Amino acid sequence: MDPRPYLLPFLFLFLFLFLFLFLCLFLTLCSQLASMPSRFSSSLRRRNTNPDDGAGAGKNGDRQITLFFRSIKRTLTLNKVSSTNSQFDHLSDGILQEILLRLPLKSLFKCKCVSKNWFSRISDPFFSRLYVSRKLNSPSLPPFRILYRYVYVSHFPQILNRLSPDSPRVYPSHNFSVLSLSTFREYQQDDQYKILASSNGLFLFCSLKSRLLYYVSDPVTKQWVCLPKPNTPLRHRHRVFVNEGFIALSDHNNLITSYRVVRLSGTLGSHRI
Amino acid sequence: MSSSLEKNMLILRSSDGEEFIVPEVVAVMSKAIKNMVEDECASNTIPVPNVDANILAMVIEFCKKHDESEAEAASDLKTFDSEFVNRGQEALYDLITAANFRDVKELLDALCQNVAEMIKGKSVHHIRIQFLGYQLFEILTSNFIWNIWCDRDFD
Repeated sequence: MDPRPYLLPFLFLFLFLFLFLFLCLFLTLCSQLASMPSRFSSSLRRRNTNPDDGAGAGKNGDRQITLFFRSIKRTLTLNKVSSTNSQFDHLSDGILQEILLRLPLKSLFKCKCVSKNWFSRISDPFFSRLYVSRKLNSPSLPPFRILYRYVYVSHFPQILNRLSPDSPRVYPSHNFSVLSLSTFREYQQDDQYKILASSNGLFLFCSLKSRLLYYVSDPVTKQWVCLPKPNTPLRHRHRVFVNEGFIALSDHNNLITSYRVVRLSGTLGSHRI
Repeated sequence: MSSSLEKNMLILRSSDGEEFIVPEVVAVMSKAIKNMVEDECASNTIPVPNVDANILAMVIEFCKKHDESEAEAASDLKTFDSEFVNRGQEALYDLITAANFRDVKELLDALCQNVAEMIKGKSVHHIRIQFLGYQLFEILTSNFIWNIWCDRDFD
């Protein structure tokens, strides 16, 4: 007549039911708090217009809970959201470009991480051309220097030391941007490149390991293009007398339309791409 | 008398109805107004929609200063510019919109330079909070690994 053995499975059932309910609650909490970047804009806009209208919350019947957590979130935030804060996101593209053009290179690369819109704007080839031409044409803006790995300077910190404002040999410019051409992967590979020519903001590199590999690089967007290997074979493997020339042609918008690489070997054979 | 007033002065009417009497040399610093004046399509009063009186007064102040100090030292003008644009973010935004809409190149230059100075040297999160309206709490909870990746040094 003991009822307890019959009650035990029911007890477990209730226990699991409660656990499941708590799990659901926790998940809603997570989805509310840890909002993903894609949700940022929509949630912001909702909050800017009227935070308590609960447009997306009433579906599941847990509107009260959502509102509760939202109020917690609002008290926890240190910055009060004003409607003007996000207005900078709605500025027209021209103004954003004007602002970004005035940044030094280091901040520019940081700004790539700010939002997808800014990233696509900065990585645009047109933007980089505009940036370079703006920097070259105006003497008032601080110049930027190109830093690259070269075979005769063994250590990277040495170059940085030489460029630091404390060293007496360097020109007294406090506000310059150092731009390292190599990406992280190239440091690891320890590949070394030599700048052969520059034109219109583009650079022509050759790899020092294999002489026939040429690269064209845009230092602002850090894009590298590997040129195809020349199909005329070299007669001597290590020829000393090889000259390369590089011209980039741009249209009136300062957008690079084409480039041409000329390679003169000692026997005056030329190679064009 | 009235004809001479018409010749040299223009009346700008802001979006909320307030009217400003401005010399023509000052008003034509805005390319949009200049075009209207040159095309003779502007009568005495020029409506300036989308710009309220407060902002329009600021823009006119800026243009006047620039017009007066055309011959003065450029450094004076620069200090004035930097002080002028040093305002709250709401006013800054309104000013940028107005300058863009009315096509006042000097003002737009000064404002964009100011915003660039604000962005310079700030971390990604600061920029997000200040300019894109992100909230600190959201940034902390959103994606921890991605935050670390964003904050790495770019040297």
